Amino acid sequence: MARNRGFLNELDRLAENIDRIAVAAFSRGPARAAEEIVVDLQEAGPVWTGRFSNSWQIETTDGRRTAGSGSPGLPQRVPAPLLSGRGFVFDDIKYTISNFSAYADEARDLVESYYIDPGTTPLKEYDRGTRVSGIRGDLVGDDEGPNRSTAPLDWYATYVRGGAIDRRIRIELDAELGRVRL
Amino acid sequence: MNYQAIRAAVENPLLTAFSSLVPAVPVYFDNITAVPPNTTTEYVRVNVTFGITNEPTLTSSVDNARGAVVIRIFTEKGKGPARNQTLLTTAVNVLETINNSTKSTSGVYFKVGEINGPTFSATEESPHFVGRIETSYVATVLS
Repeated sequence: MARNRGFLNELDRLAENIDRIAVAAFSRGPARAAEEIVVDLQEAGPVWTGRFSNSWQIETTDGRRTAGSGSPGLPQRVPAPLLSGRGFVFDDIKYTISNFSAYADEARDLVESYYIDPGTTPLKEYDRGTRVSGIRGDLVGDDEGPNRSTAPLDWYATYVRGGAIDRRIRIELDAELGRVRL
Repeated sequence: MNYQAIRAAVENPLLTAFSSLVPAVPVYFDNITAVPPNTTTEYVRVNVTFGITNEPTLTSSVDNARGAVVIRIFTEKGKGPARNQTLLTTAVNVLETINNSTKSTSGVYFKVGEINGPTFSATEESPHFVGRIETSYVATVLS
């Protein structure tokens, strides 16, 4: 029992050391990967006023959070919170990226809704078509029709399920680890 | 790379399954106009999207593609979820059958990942209750 306690104390000390020494070097990799994923999502997703694009947030498992402003305008970069040493070593999922916009589900083509074209020019290029269902990007027509869309249908599913996130994290981690001298 | 063959690998079994139901349920794919809005006709919408092509780390072959399949089931609103879930089961069964197929030497080897959902939604304006599932896929063109 005493040996177990000693071992746990050792682990605790190791975690503290990791907190002090390794975090700065290593956790920048996943942090940058998370930031780049948000940039990718901003580029892939719809941008009309910019509110949705500026509503992405990055959270660590221990509750630290950074977020966009939620304001209209061109998409702004969201800096990721740095991981703690414990988070870097022990947490399988290091960051959670989500969108706090009130119409996040509609923008990601997850639910049906009703859309009113504001008549303004969106911040991103758009395609025209006729909306078939209540899904935002469900337009048909060869760039002709009454409805406009600034991102293709299922852009979010394609990014999340199509493997782009895995690739991005690996690339970013490799780049970061390549600069660290052990 | 043969995108059309990859698309067909998942679209054909879905079309066959829903067409053989009694009554048959129409299936609409990408860039096909579905039934007009504001009708209560039930239908299925299948969207196949491509995320990564020829990622060299998947296998030594480069004829690979990854992507997502999104299936939406539109049924009449206000009638409960049973009919929608019955049709969703048909779609899930098709995806599972695709996954059970073995790799041959030609054609397209298509495997789906975990199936996310179903999630349901309905709005005041639309006459439909919508069930949605999505999954990732990896497809290899063998010939």
